[in-house]
Amino acid sequence: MQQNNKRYLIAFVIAAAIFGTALAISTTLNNARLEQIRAIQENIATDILSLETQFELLSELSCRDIRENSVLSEELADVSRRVAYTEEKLGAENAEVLRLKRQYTLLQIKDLLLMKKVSQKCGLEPVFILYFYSNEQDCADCERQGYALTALAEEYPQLRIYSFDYHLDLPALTTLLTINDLNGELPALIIGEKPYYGFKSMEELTAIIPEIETLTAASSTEAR
Amino acid sequence: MEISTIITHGLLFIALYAEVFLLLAFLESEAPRKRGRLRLPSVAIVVPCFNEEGTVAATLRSLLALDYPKNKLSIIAVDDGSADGTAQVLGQFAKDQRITVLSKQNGGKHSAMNLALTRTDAEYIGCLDADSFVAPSALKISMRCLIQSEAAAVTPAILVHKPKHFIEFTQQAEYTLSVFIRRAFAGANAVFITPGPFSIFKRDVLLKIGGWKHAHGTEDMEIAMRLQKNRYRIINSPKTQVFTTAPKSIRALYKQRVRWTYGFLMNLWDYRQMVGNRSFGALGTVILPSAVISIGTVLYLASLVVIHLTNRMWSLFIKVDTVGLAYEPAIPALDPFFINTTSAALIAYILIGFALTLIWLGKQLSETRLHPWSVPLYMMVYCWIAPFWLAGALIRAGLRAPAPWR
Repeated sequence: MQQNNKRYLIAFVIAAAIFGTALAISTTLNNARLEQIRAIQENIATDILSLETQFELLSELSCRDIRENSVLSEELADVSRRVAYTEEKLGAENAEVLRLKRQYTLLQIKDLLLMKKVSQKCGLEPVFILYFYSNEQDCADCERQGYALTALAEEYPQLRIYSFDYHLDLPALTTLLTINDLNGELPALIIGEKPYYGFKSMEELTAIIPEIETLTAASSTEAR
Repeated sequence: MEISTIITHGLLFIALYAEVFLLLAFLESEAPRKRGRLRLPSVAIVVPCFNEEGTVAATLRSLLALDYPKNKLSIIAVDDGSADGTAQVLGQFAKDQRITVLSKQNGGKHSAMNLALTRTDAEYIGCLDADSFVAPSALKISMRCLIQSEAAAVTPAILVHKPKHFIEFTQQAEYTLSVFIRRAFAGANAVFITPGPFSIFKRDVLLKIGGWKHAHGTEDMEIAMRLQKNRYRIINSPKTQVFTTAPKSIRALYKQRVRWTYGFLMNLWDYRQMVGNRSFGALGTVILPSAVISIGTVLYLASLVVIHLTNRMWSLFIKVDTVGLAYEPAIPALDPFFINTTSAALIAYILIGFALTLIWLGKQLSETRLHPWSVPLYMMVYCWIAPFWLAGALIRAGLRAPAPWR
């Protein structure tokens, strides 16, 4: 009996040690993952800031140079994938995930504003699509809308699609919602300053954006 | 933290604890003593047969080839009312003085064993299912272990006989893992199954506890539980090689495992006073409770997988319905970022590592070879089909609907 008690205890200590080590390693790896996203976002923020500064300082900067320097969309899309994966694994309520998501959303808004300025200066006519979704139970068609937009972005990489979590607590996002006068119905799209509510198929989107066939420049961020 | 996450972590901890406990029990198990000249006792090996015309001849031939003093070994083949050609096959062996052939109306394996028990005065009685075969050294090795330990019974290492089909290779790894588990259970004095293939018992102990009983199609578990309940010790001899015919199809495997699991659950219910009972040592406090929890764990995790896969399939359906098949997801680049490193996943990786180690230990113990595909197949196939037989057995146990033999 005594030998058994000793064995129970040793087994418990070993199992607890392994379990604790796994928890610690998992926490460390998750922190490293968050840190990696943070680092990429910081790089993007620096790039945007740098471009903005160049834009402000050197009005004579050629449009070609700006276009060459403004290829942030791929990086934003990469961050989008990473944030989405981390959100899935750590949970949407995780404080760090929320922080990264807010930062990512801000970066998208910054990129949107900058690209609008660049378009104005350089006489470009890119198509901006703002997509508002929800991960909560109040948007049955958001998943479907995400697939349609991703497919559209694959077909027309020149589209600039920005996706925003409607319920994210971020003042800049609230302002964006107010400016665009959204009524809360989801999914919602802003195309050419005009709001569209409910699911829009690829065919409907193509009909809404007649200039889609003539797009040549710019690229897009991945839709969620 | 979500409730499902807490449950998952709790179950994973129990699984980890059980594996560590088994490993400790194995490490602390007694090493075989030095070989010396021992008086080998008389042994009767009983072969109960019910419609075994295809395999019983090879079973008997393997027994006749045993390296054991001829005057100390008797073989009793009991035809338990077979409807096929078993009687004719047994008739061919009746001339051999070492073999006694008995015939009776069908009454189940326990009745065949009990009939043989009344017809022998050998000191030890073994059982060998008519679809199993022994290595020539098997009896001598088992008897040396048994005599030296003064236990009431000894179990062997059971291996798959000449695997050819993929499902047999799959079972080969499982049987090798069982070699380790039997040894570890014996180390913890917690053996609760004395398998039909070549478990050997002290005859006087069998008589004291009343021989074999009808027990939900798993008499080999019932008799071991009864021995444990009566405080008799059961040991294991991992070097005793016994080969058994494994199911050759998933359907046959499913039926066999439903019967085994159903029998386990029903016998456990019959002996429920032992579960959680500290007076039965590790058997009562760790082994039997973990065996029950493991069934729950597999079914719980399987249900999570089903929910996850259903969600994925639904998403895929929505995607195809929305954008068609032309937009198939691209194969993601190998980026370490996307490797699942949640604590549950890491513990699952550790448990898999443990399982692989235990299989390797079982291989070393039984000095056997494994087909290269055996372990990968076991890891890939069992996780998909085991939940079905566990659920099937659980339903049968709930309905008290016995699982058929064939």
